[in-house]
Amino acid sequence: MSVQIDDDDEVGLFEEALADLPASDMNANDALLSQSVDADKQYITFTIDQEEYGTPILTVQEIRGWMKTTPLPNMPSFVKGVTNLRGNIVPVFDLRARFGGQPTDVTERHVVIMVQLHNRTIGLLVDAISDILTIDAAQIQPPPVGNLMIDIQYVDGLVATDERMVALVNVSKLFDGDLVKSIDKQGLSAPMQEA
Amino acid sequence: MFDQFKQTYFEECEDRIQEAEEGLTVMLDGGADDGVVNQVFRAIHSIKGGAGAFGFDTIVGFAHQFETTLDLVREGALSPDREMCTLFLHANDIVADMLSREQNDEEIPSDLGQDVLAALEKIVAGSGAVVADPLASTDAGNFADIAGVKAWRIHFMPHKGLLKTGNEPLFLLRALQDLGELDVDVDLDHLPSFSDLTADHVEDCYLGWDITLHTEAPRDEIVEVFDFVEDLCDLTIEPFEEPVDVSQADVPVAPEVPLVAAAKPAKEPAAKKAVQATKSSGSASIRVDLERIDSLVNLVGEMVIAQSMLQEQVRWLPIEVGGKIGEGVENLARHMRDLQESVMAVRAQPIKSVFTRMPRIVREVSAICGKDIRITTSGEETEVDKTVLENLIDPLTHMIRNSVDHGVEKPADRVAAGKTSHGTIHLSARHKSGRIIIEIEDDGKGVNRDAVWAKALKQGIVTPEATLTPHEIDNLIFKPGFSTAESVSEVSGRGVGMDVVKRNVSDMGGRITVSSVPGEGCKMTLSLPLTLAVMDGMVVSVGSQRFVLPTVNIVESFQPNSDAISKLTEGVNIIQARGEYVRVIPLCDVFHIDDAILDINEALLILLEGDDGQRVAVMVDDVLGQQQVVIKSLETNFSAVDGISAATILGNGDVALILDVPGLSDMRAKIDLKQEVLNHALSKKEALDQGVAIEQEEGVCNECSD
Amino acid sequence: MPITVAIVDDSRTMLDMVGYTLREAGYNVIEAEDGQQALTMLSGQAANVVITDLNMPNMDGLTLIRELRAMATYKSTPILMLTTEADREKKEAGRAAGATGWIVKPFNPDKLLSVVKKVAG
Repeated sequence: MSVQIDDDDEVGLFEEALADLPASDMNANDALLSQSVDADKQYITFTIDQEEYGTPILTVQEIRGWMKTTPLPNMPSFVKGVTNLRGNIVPVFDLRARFGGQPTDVTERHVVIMVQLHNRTIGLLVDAISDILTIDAAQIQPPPVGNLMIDIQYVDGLVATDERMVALVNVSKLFDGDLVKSIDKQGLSAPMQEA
Repeated sequence: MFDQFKQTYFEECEDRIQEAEEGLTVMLDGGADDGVVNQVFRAIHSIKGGAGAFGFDTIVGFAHQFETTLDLVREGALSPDREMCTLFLHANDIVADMLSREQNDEEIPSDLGQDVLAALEKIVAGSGAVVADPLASTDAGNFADIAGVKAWRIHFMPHKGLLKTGNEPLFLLRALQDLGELDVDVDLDHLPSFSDLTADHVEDCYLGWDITLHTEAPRDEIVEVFDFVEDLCDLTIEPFEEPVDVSQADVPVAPEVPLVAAAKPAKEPAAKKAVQATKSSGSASIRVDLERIDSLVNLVGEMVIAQSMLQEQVRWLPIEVGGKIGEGVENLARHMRDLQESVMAVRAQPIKSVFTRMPRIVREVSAICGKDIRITTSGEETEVDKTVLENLIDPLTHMIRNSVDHGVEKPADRVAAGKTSHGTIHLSARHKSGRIIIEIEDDGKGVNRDAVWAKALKQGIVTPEATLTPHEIDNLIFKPGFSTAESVSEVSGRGVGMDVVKRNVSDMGGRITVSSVPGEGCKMTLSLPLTLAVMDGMVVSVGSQRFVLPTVNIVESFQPNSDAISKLTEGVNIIQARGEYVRVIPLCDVFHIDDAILDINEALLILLEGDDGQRVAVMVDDVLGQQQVVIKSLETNFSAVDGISAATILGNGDVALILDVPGLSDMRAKIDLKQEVLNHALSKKEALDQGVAIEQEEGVCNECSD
Repeated sequence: MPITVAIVDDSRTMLDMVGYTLREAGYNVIEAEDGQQALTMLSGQAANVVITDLNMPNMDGLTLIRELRAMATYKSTPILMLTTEADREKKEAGRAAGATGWIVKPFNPDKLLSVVKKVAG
């Protein structure tokens, strides 16, 4: 059920593969191998509701279709639980809930982006992957105070492409060094969601 | 060139420092014999030897002075009193400091240990002994080189016994040959006539040599060739004047040929044969990189998971196919367990290495606090996984500091309280049902309950209405936020409180409790798993979730008899089990699982006991089986979670949480069950139930196999 | 057939360093950590040269030398003692026990090799 993307695949193929998501898994690092030039300017973009967000591809370890999670007790609603990523126990966070929205009603079509953060691997649950963009620093505009679901302090900037607006999310601010602390502050009483 | 051995050296030095420390502690208590003094001497001596090889001159200098002083003790020229032993202990600490600085590539401050060095010098001076400068070349020659000499005339006449010392004239001549061009004459004057030769002569040397050596090398180098035999031969070395007609008569020698034949007939072949016969090393142990063992441990861990996966699959096979395979899988499981244990045993080490660090801490801290404290230890041979051992150092150090700083009183106060002026801290370790129990017991004043209570109130850790047992009050010191600036002293401070100790300990799946008798002392008990890699667990289901309960905590599982259940308040049940009333913790509530069995009468209860002896009963849907699980920390990629000690991966690939039994009891507190309410209810219930047979529920109890 | 050198020292560092130097030079090296262990090892496996530390637990170097000298195999085998100070007293004690010579610690690798060569060829 997983599509392994070979190192020597063309970029175009990679993007075609993207269209297959979320049914397929893919390894973002493989994309880097074939496209290492400018990798630091590349962003994976994803959608939550109608909004499009981006995160640097260098921090992305891999992208997976929805995986079963085991819920943890007394966690804020954005903590989906933990999952088994090839023998490692990895937490999965619901980005929509983290942004302040309703907890995601998970289906097979949802996607988890595995991100390297503070020497940890964490999973970010999003609606879908949409694109890989190469973005020059000059294209990034300061975020406007306005109608994004996400709190502006977690946005590094905005990029406008093809009639779309992409908000560049600062994941490491969103989940700071001590994941517990940021969680403790959120209040613990929210009941757990079934996985 | 020996840089690659530095690491070994530092590791070894750590052991040496400990050995010295142990020995010195025995000396301090007056129980030392020659063996102990020797052990200390050897340790320091060995540190010095290595330090020289790496050019750690400061360490060599200091260690040398230390060693010299110890040597005097060894020879009986000095009889150390308590004061001197304390000085030695300080000296040992300084060597340790110097080593750790070298190890971290830090500069050794020029004044480090100078006072101790001076004190050691004074002791040695007082004894009248003379110290050699350790850094002065021991090879320094006494003979001035005679300039311009290009050739030497050497007369070398070994004494008869030279061969018995293992020296071999042939090799000496070869060594000379390395210095220059050689002409050799054999001197046969001392050789007995053939008819006089007997077997007794075989090992004696009768040959002598007159040698002319053409060389640029100074006289010293020639003398050095003979350094091992200077007292075993007649040797003269004189400048040689050329030209001399003797050269005609000389036999130019490739000295291989005639020299040894008579002297050493049979030795070499025999030795060679022996070498060929046994090639294996006589050493009974090998050293292995920890990394290799770790990867082995990980592999075995993955195999355990794979094996439980197999086991799970076999269950679904029809019996005619599955029977044999199941048998095989069972076999495999058994071997896996043995393999696992063997691998873990490789990583296990005696706790001694941690314990031996503690006396120094007691010494240093009690010096700062103006206290007189002795530390005793027992159970040092108790083995525990190396990772546990490493993680234990910090919390244990802190607990010891705490005992010295807050536990044991100053001598005057102790005497006033009718105690000995010196306090004692006893550190012990033992194995108990798959865990290691470490106790730190002092004979100090015990936990000051009033002060703890007052402080807990002030910090908002407890409310004024709370009623806690004395034991519970004592254990408030582990609550987060209990330690405040006030208690942060030089000593136990550094801003770290007992709550951090507790955190460290529970991160390892350990427990810590304190029990105290006012005025008599206090005992902290640490309970830790023997390994952080695997554990035996019981897999239970609660709705669609699966949890693992540590087998060590399980007392029994049973279906509750409705008579034994009493409702305390809405949603809070207690149950009579084994003659005790225990709280029921419905896992479905704690974990908000809504597809679980909610009716206690239909559920299964598992009676658990924490390390502190507290019992709780968790309510689950079903028991799925017992198995060994591989412990995966939640903190690798996430953080610690209350009530959960770790996670594991089940045979079907799902993650299951491993429940933390004492943590569960704490969570029960969040369900807000006040002790008083319970006690009250219990006494009432007891009165009501008077005479109700305890055996009542035994009929439905299923004893757990473990 | 390479020459076998037995090194006896309770210091791992020393064993490693001496061993390394000798192995690099092509010697076959066997190791023991104290006199007792050495004696057991050398009873089963002959060495052409023995290098021993003096201060060791279980059995010290001088005793080891005496024990070896009492064995037929090691009656005239070169035995070198490793010592930090090569003072007269030490040398005499070593000689009395039957030592062939000594190596001063910390040792210089070239010196070590030249000494071994001097006694073992």
